[in-house]
Amino acid sequence: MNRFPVVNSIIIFCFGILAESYFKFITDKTIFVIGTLLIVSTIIFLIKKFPFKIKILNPLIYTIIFLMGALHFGLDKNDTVSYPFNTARLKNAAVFGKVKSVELPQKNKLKFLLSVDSIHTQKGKIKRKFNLLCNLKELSNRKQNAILQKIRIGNSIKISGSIYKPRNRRNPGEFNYEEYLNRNDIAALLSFGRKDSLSLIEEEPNLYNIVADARFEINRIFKELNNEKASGFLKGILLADRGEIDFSTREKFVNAGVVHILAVSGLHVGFIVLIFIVISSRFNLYIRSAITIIGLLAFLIITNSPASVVRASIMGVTLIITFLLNRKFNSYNALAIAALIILIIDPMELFNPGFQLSFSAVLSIVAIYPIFSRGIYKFGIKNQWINKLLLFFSVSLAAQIGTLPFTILYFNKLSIIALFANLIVIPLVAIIVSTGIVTLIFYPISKWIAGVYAYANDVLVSWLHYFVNFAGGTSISHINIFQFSILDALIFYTLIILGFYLYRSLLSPKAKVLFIILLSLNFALLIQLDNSKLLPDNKLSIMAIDIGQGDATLIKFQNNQTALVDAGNATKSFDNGEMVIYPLLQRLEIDSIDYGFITHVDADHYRGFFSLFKKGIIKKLYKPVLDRSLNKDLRLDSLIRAEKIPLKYYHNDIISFGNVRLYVLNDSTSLKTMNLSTNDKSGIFKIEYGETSFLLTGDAGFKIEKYLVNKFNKFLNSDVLKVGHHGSKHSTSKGFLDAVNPKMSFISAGVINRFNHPTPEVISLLESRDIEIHRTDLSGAIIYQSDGEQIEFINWRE
Amino acid sequence: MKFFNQILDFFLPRICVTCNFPLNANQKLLCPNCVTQISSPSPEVLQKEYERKFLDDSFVNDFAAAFIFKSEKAIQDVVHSLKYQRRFGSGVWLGKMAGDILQNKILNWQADLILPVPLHTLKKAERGFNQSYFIAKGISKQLGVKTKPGVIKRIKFTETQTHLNSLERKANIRNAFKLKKQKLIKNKSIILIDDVVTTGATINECARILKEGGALKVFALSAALADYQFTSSREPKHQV
Repeated sequence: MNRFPVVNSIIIFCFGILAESYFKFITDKTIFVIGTLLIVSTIIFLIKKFPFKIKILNPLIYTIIFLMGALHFGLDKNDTVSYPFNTARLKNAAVFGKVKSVELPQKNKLKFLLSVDSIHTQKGKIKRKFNLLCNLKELSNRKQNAILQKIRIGNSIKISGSIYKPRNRRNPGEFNYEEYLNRNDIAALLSFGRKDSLSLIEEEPNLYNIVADARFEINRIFKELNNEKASGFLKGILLADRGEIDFSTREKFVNAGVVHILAVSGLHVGFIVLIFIVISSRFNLYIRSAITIIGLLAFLIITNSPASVVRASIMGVTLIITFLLNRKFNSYNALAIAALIILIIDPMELFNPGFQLSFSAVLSIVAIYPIFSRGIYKFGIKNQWINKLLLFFSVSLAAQIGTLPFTILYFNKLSIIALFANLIVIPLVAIIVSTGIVTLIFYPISKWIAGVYAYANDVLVSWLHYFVNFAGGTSISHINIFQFSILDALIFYTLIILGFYLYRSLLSPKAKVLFIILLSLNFALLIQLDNSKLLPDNKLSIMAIDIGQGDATLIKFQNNQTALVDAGNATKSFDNGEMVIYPLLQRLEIDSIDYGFITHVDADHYRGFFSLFKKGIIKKLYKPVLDRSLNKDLRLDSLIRAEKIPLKYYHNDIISFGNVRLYVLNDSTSLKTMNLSTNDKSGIFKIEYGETSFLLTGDAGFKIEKYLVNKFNKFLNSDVLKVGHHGSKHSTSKGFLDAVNPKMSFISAGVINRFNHPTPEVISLLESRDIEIHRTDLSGAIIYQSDGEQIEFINWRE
Repeated sequence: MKFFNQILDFFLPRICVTCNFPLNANQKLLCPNCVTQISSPSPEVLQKEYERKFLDDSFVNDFAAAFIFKSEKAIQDVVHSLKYQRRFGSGVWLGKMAGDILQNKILNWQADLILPVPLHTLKKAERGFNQSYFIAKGISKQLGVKTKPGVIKRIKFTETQTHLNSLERKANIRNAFKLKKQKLIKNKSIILIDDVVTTGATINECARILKEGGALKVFALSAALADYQFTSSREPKHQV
């Protein structure tokens, strides 16, 4: 590697960035250190006969590069953004600002970024500078077009709506949207309802509009000529906007190991280069190179330059320039140049998944593929096609090996069928991309010809979807891996590098096989070293899942059986069962729920169950006695029967889970309770494990609390109380609290919910008795663990 | 210029074509060690080769080659870097070296024009350029004789000739060229440039066309000389 100074420099530069991100050692004085070192090395460089010149100069220069990396990151890190207000929601705000960028319009939806200047609320004017992402939903076509005219980049506008804090990590292992937005310099979100308005204040010409217009136009052409699926897909792979590729489709691409297709990757840049080289093949060398470079730059701009495209474009341009300058092209060097340019522009990119995946893929192809291809040639297979197939496989395999730790870290999945899926998907996508480009080229000439190509693409995209659905839809396509840490990734890379060095030095094939087996065994052992379960075996864990406004309490018993009390709400736009609970269960490695409990038939308690029913993970279900006067209860009941899930109604029950007992305290025969409201028919559960106990009361109100106190009195006494009805003022009476006498309590309520749960009355009541309070609306998911003697509050954020 | 080169060398380092040793800003293509290994054919060898390859057809008046292809690994690597790694700068370098080595002989010919042996359009599109043209350019820069592309055109696409023997090559190349700009060559002395001369069939055919078009004298010049028994030519794998 000594031959390529850029390669050395970029490695050291990256280490500088990493060191600073972990140790934060950069201070104001670092710049003087760098300055001094620079002066010293310049002096040494200029003195001609300095003893051991190179030996002294090299480490000096590398130290400077290391410090520059750290400094660059340190300075960049200082201006991180965060949500600028104290309250999580600012209602009815009028925001003044400049449009910074506009996303491609979706059906009835618009998204744009506003650089805010000032905000007017009922309380007065606030002057604050930050970036606000405006979400406009449910727009009619006419309104959408009218707004699009006003929100051209550079325009000053006034928009009304409510500003809110983006969702952060609410449950263990969840995606942190707020952090993601903050990293992209977005501090807050704005929702724009039907009553809200947007008006133009001042127009200002801006060059970026050319790019935006080009993107809009391309998007419009695809929308006009292609069907919905194909246009969404083409938009994703040619304009790097995945807004119209839905969650489940994306998951299937992940399962099949071909999700890299959906990001505009270096692969597409390769196609673009190929297309331009073919188009310009008749011209002379310089014109041809210039056309290709211009084409690459155009593609880079059109796609809004994601890291992978920047990387591939820089590598492509480097290739062309080395060619024109008559130098030898080296892939490592070109890769290093790309990394250098990207990281100098923005050192934070080092932590961007796109950057990491792109560079690790190319690096491992460059490093590993030659080894594979040599091996394949050694086999001496005569058939050209088999050889080519094997080479293609080895490229895929090389990329898979390099990106493996990152794909597991980010997607928590290891695709088994990736090699085969890529064999079909990559050529297919190559054809789709070029057909898409041909469509665009022909559009201004003849709509009819463009339409023919578009139609062909519709068919191709539907084939692609069909194949990916087939390949990624099965559960055997992938393995879920949730316990994978950065440490594991480091172990993986170290073993791979070590493996290749040692593999070469071993001569006998038997030794090689043995070596590979040992190495993989070692890897399997090593990555388990730091694994720890959030909800450990042999303990009782109770976890209030943060599902916004509503209830969902997961219980893992000491004998590893599980129960889920309520599953939150599910609306058209957000299904808690699908989006929150199921992924969480997967992350916790819980395959099925042995007992599902619907406390009562209210949307925020039972709707989340539907998607869990469909997935077949609920083994048995408890709910209140069927209320035939309630339509939703009838529907729920028939649905459960249709899914053939064993169903039981609440009635004085004791369920044993090893040493843990769950008491159902409802009496379905008592007229006293059965004539009350749905809330009051909530399932009441007392969970006992050794000397510790928990009480869950659903949405039960004062009347039922009184009934419980009369009937059970001392038996209600528990260490932890799940405060009834999200802390509403209709629950948690003094008498009830006397009987339960908890030490700790938790409340499940949504952030700034419209019911104003929990009420100050309940909070002050709890506080006056020195009861510890944990709230999902303030701190996300809440976990308690009991070993039978003591209850421990678990802080999962650590 | 040197400073500019040094900066470029930082980003895109150059290495010796043959031994991969890093080059400094003053060196080109080959490291000093490899340059010393280059040797040229003696006048006797050239005379003998001329007699064997060109005397029978008598279209070519004289022949010169700067290097021997087979025995010199360095030159082979330079030619391969030109043809297969598409480094046209290697062509200019070869031309300059050839012009330097064969200065006396070429100046004695008193030629008016240097013409590269053309490639078929398809072949040219595939490679991106005509390697002989860059050698011609190198010689032209070194010795001040004009060069012009496009005087002869290759109209017949011939597959690689490496596996053919002398007679087969002759038959294969027959009528492969066409004269496009007769005015330029009428009563002129012409030097024909090819990168490697093996049997001389290609140059002979070109010379025939030129002579029939009215050229006064035609001289053949190749950067490297290869024996007709020479069989190499699996394309070396290069990284893309």
